Amino acid sequence: MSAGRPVATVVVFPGSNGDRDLFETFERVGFSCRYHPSDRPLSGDSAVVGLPGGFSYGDYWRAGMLASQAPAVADLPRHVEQGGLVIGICNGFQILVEAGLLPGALSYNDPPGFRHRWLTLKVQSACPSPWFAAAAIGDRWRLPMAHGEGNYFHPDGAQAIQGRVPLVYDQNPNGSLADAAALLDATGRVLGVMPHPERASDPDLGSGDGLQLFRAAFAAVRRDAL
Amino acid sequence: MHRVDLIVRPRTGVRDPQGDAVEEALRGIGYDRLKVHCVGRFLRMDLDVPTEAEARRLADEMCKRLLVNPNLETYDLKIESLG
Repeated sequence: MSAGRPVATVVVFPGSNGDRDLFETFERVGFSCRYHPSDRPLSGDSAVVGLPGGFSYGDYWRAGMLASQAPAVADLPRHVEQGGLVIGICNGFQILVEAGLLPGALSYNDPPGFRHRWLTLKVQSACPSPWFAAAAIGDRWRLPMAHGEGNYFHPDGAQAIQGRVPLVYDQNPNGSLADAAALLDATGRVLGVMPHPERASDPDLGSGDGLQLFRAAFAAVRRDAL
Repeated sequence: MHRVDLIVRPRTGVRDPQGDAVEEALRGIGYDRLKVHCVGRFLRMDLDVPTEAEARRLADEMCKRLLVNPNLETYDLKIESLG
């Protein structure tokens, strides 16, 4: 880690469009943020790596599939093993699933269609995670959604993701199993989230609820660095 | 040289909202005596390998490693020798 502020890296894929929102949010909570092209291996000094929303590679073949093969994504397991945090938002969540860092699959919304609107989500009990360390169980968050392929599926059903779903939809907009809007890996350090917390990082623009995730991650990284 | 045609489609039992939407659109323009079973993807490629068995082995491997998501999808291969 560099001296001073902990580093957050935003991986930029061809077709990313939420990279700047994510960059601004990392900076806002105290990280020193940098962009990183997806076709290069990660540099290894980041406390947090973020995969932004968008349409990487035009969603060709399957959303997130082509991006999941990028060198920067191939380095993520090592980053997590070394204690690093990862957040994948929307298309970033799809990439994490395609890369096998999170289980299951994300498919076409059911009922079908691209949906973009504000949603209410509920924080629920899940495995310990630095991302949700400051979140109170039962809290309602207001975050925007903007996706056509956010329908979370696991072939073994809801039991397979028990304790891994920290955030659920109040009114399921896409057919996701167990109303899952977010998913954690077994370490709690890898988070995939389908709505956009980085676009809810300023109360003047609709909601600041998404900041809670990033503030909690910053606090966890700071604590580990001491 | 062998030509490989790959068809990927949703697994039986997995909801197929694309198929539902296409069926609805067809009904909307007057085709009401139909049932769309699924919407999938198609890929054609040529593999420079001497035998059909080798072409199939490679294509199966590509499907497992990248092209097919077994949670949601299944696939069929058609392989033809190009001489």
